[in-house]
Amino acid sequence: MSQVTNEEIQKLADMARIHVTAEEGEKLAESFDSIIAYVDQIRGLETDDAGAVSSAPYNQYRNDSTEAGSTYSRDIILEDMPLREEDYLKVKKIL
Amino acid sequence: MSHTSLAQLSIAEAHAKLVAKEITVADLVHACLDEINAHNEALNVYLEVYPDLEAQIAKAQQIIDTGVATPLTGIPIALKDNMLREGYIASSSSKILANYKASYTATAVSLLEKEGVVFMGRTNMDEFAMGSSTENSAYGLTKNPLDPTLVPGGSSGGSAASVAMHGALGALGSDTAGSIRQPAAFCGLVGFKPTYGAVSRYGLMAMASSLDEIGPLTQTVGDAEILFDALSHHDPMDATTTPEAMRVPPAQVHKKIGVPWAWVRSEGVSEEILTNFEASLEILKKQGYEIVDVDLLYAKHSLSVYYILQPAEVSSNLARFDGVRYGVRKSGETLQEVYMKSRGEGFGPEVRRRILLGAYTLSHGHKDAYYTKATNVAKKIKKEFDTVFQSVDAIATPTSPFKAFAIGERAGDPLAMYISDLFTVPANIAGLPALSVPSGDMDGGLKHSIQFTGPNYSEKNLFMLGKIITNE
Repeated sequence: MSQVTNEEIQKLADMARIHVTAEEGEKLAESFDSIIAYVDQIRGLETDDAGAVSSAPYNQYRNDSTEAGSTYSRDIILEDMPLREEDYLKVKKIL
Repeated sequence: MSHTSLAQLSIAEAHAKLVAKEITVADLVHACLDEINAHNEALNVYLEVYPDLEAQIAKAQQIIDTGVATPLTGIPIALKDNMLREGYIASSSSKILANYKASYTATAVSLLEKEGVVFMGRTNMDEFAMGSSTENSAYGLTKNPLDPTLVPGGSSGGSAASVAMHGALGALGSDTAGSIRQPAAFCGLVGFKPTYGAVSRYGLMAMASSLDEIGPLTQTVGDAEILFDALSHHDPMDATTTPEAMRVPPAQVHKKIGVPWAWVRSEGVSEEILTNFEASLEILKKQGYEIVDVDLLYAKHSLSVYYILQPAEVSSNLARFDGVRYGVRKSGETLQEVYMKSRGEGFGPEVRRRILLGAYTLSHGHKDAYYTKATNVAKKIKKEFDTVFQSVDAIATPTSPFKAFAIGERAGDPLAMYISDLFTVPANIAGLPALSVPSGDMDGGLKHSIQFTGPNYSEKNLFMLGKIITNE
């Protein structure tokens, strides 16, 4: 029996902005069941004392300025735009 | 000496010949080009050979002629297609970035560029580095140069194959669960995943940022060390790189290697691979190492942790690919439709699966059971390694539970594919350095491999262990 339904897959797809056909949704639901059954093996592991670890991440800060070490090619950024008008990026109407 | 034999040189050997003026950079690069011209069409290794090779050759030769060559000057190196080189396409083997030209250069690439490395081209990979066979590329699968009926491994399968077919002397790959070490093993090479934070990922397309690391694929351990030394630097552009002063290797050498026997023996590792693994341990014993049994009660669940954390990070990281600012944009009536079509058609099936799986495990009602639980198990895994490394210098396992498999053999079953990373993924979950080295010949022209995982910044020790196995 499938735990994850095609309907749930379609809802996730909608949130993730990915078009998924009904047929692919069925297949995805099936594969979700087997992957979730596999990862469920960690549910029983004791983790109450997980706490912090010795190699915990730490913050690194930089000055709030544009002096950073890299440059970007403006020409290439413009060239990469899928739709443009002169130096403006063309997008769909939002409102 | 013929061109073919030049392309088969190690980086160290080629460097010696270049500085002795026995060969020129052009000789070396053209020897690799001859191999590419002979094999690339059949194997589909390089997606593109860079059009500026002659300019790169001239620059490298000038560095050598002025007497300031480094061990990498003039060395032909391949780049995985998820690393940015300004002005050139970087597509992560995805349709959605088919026409994407990098507007800046990755730090790892620019470090090598400064040394006069010659970048041969960009290599095929599993789309956005999701896969273990290089069958998930939008630009066709790559075949294993050692046996073209087999996969080269993945996701850095093109990088591994480029070195195995002698189309480069070394390559850069990225490793999130084993994507350098597993293809290295499948193609008979050395593959190294550095300590998390050792190498800058600035300009590497992010897949699972808490796990991704850049590293080398080479023919020898010495060559992997040369590339790692060139790449291992703190980078202000990547705040996850560790400042040099904080890179402290373990203070004590125990001359002990840990083997998680119960785990290795319970996972259906083939007899052939176990026999070779035991033979490798005998070689270490002869060098005075004691082999001790260790328990990894949490680390053996790393793959489960990975398939929760990785899709979650993927669903977030890949949100940027929307076809609006760059990449391929599909047309639609509404903005929503533009997104749905651009991402639906631009991403391949495995990438779509992982994004949705991440959305699922992060969604309301599932987050605590999956994502939070997995981050806590990951902490336990790190602690478990910390404890084990108080008494051993490294942990040894086979790199892969099985040898290179046939094209198509595992493509239909995601779990059968995911299991490839069983022994490699704990190093990513714990952020540890891990080295895979060839450990003997297998039937059919393939090679066995052994993996050493060590504590943070124990790279030198791992290279030393690797050299004992490869007899360097």
